[in-house]
Amino acid sequence: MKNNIFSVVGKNLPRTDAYEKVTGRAQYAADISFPGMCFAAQKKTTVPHGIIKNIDISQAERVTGVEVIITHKDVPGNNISGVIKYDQPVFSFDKIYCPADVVSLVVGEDKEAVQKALTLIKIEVEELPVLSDYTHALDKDALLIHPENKSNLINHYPLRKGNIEKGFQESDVIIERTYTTPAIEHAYIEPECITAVPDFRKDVYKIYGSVQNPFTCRRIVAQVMKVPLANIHIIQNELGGSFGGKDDTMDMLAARACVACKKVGKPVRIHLSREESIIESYKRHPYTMNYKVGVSNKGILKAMKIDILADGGAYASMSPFVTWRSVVQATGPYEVKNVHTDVRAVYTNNPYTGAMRGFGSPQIIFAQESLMDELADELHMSPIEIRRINGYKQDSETASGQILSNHVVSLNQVIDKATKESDFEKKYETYKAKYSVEGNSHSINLILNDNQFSAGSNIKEGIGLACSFRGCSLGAEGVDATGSLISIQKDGSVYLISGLAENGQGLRMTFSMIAAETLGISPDDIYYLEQDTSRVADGGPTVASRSTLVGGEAVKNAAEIVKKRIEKMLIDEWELSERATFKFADHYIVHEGSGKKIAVSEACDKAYLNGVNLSAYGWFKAPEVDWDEEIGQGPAYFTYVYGCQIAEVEVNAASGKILVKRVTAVHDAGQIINRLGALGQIYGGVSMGAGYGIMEEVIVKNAEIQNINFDEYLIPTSVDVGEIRAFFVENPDRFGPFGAKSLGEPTLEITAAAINNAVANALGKRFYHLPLDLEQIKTGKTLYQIKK
Amino acid sequence: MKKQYSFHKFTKLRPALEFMNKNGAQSKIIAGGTDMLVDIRKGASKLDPVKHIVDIHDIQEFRNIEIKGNVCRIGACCTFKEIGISEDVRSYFPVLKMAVDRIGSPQIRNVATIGGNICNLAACADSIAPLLVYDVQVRLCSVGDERIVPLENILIKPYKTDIHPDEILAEIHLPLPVKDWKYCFYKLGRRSGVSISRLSYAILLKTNKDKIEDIRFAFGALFSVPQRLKDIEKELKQQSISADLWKEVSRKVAQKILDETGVRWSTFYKIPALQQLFYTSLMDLT
Repeated sequence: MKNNIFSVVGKNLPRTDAYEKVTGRAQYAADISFPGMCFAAQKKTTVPHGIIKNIDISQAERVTGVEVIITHKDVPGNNISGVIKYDQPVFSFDKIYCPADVVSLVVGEDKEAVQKALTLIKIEVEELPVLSDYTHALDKDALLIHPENKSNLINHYPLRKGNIEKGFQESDVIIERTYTTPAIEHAYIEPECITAVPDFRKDVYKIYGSVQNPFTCRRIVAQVMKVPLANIHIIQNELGGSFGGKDDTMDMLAARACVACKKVGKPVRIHLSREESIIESYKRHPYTMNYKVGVSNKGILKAMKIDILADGGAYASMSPFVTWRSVVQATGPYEVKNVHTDVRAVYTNNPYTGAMRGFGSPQIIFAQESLMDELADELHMSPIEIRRINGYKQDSETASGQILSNHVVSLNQVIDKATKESDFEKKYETYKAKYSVEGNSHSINLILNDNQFSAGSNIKEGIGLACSFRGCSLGAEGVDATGSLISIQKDGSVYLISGLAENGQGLRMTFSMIAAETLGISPDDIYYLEQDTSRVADGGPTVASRSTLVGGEAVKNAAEIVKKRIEKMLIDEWELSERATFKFADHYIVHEGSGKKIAVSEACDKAYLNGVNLSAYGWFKAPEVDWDEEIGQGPAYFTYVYGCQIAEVEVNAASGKILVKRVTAVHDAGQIINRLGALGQIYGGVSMGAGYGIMEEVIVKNAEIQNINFDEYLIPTSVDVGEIRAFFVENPDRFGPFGAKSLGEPTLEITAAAINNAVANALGKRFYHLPLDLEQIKTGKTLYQIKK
Repeated sequence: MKKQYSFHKFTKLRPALEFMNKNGAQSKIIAGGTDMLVDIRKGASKLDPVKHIVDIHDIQEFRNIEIKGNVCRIGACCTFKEIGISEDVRSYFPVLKMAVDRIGSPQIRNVATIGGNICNLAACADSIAPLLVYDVQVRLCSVGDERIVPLENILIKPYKTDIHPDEILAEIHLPLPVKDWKYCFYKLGRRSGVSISRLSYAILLKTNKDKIEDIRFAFGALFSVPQRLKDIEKELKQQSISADLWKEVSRKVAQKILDETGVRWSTFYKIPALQQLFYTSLMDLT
């Protein structure tokens, strides 16, 4: 199909790093070592909230083999840090805010001595009451986590559109529901590891580690060390998974390791165990979402009143940005004239919450897509019909008043494709007809009476649909620009690097393909450079599914600058008109008028000998976006993507166990660059989304995490998610490279909602709380085992 | 700081027994280590008295599966993988095969052993309920002595067996059953792979026309240790099979569990779930 206009883009190509990764040659942060390297262990308290009265390191210091013990007193610069707000101590000194807090570091070459000294540090803490239930964080008499703020409110985003009272008056059916979602863990396979290495130059440090966002990390370390940004080099190692999870946690670890490195004058490594990783790293925000929706008898949405509360935990972290995405997208991809939304994030003593793949969207999609199905039921419509009536079409207006006109609004295309591929309508009606009559109540008696037993199979089949729209990249969160550096050698081989970082998602391959397409070469000709903050300009964080779109365009821009220079040289060399056009493909450059051709490598050699600059910096700055904080109105993102997923499940009505039998995923991510990589994103995203739907939950009691390793924190295995059928609808975008947009997060955000709708289709009973674990399905409640 | 242990690996039975004779009270045997290594990592308090880890995994005489006369002997150090692929186990003890094939993951099944499953005695140990319905005995060796006792006699309480400190579990003896048992093994986990049982049960049923000639059932992860319910089994002999009977049996089993374990955090889930699941399994068998 489209492939014929491209020679590289759109192909199924294995990643450049695949061989090294599957053969174990790739070097992760813990695989490298440095002469004289010390290990640092972190001291935490067992108290989730309290005033630090005294920190006694005297006994610990005397342990043979321990080099130094680090506390807040050793921090040269800011000891209070954070990615947005400065509210998180690098080393706790006056107060413990949550169980993730670190008071000191024990540093030494001998790991056993370090561990022994750790037990000898005495921290005296006066315990404070604990605020763990975030739904009470804004109560008048609530305990204040950061009393200087006078409130536990981290942020509040209102959105006001139309007249909500009038909207409800015009409604024939009004329903109001509350949905809740849990904290979940990123569960990257590689736990955090960082090594700070001193340089022979004064106050210069090189930091190696599994860092998601090298430039954010650099900023935080530089502030903590009180040195210029240029003195801190963050060198990213191969990343064993991140999913948005190796930002703040890594920045804090890097800062601590660097403080220790300065004091001891040797390389210092912090490498977390899985238990430490789960206790210390931030999680996905738990949400409580109240939706009140009014609709006319004809199924037209008239009003939506949405009230969302997010548990930010002890620190603000990414809460302001995560919840901002929620306020923009809270109505789902539906036109509603009257909208009244409030989204608030609050402080508690719980594990702090921050960025995770999806970033404030999986929660609201679970709510709004469950609600759409419930509305359809009320109105005796099909789930597709109600979405067709209200779903975004070309030039629709969003809740924030943005007219969707500069890209193809493909919601109906993805829904059509997904419903057709899964035979949705027929299956939905068939399964629906099989609801058992007594299905709607949960038994309260333990011993069943005769008519509480059901005959026949316990297995009920169901199918469910969910869809979404998603703003690409950062939107009005902040500056959205990034760069890329390309350098072609005289033999035609290429160095490439971008301001965005490989997180395991396949960015290096995608960028190599974009550069290769532009220059008429193969991705194999490109050597993608190691990520190092000293090599390339700050291009912002690798987040928000922005890499292919924003980073890819910068790569294309860089390659095109060099390409133009080569063309100019050939025009002179071959004495062609200034308007000559060339085709760069399959390692040759062909002049389209005369048919004259030259190998790319030969042209590069010629260029080198002619003194032509074959290196270039590409740059892409995203189009302007805008947001009025007072009323939540404005063009929030410069382009959007659309997706629809359909889940087919088998629910065992007796045990409550859900088998996700098949997921049909259709996404419009614009032009696909690497088809194999894109499929990988869908397979991974759907699996993560299914985990969120049916089993994952970080259980927190009294601010303390109960399940701190993978024996108790369950994620799906390869046999827990059945067939995943992936399809792409490719409407080229005007901004992205070759028309590419975003895919990473859309793949995950819809799945849990689709599963919830499928379960309702199977059982004739609706659920409002994630995860849909055994107890939830069977008893309608969450049951926990709490450790003593 | 992690506790340190001395590690002793034996490939012959005799020296292992001698070591246990001397140091049994301060030793913990590992055969595959899939439970023990987790305990060691967690610093479990049950390891407080333990100084020595004794590895018997490679004692070859504990790795055989063979039929002699009317008894199938499975060496205690046979891995779940080895048991799962055994032709003898498949044809005579299908319930055991079904259970071991679903323990943990392929990696776990390649090292975890049936002896370890018994000796560790977790409430959710998946191989024990099937062994109980096959009326197995275990052979326990010590220096100059051995005893053969019914498996259920050594199951005391979670993580506590009646194996003496100087003894090593050598073999499991499974009397060959006549082949016309109908059977069922059911395991419920939170997920389909690498899962720990929320509940499990094994059923053997022999019918004569519409009457129960014999029935056996055992349960995992429902009582403090896996358990047969022989009283209920006995009452059922010669009764006519009907949906109502199976409902009654399911209720009796549930009541028995309630009586023994009391109400726990999981009771409101497990008890209703078990009754419907067990009822469906019995209906499917008949």
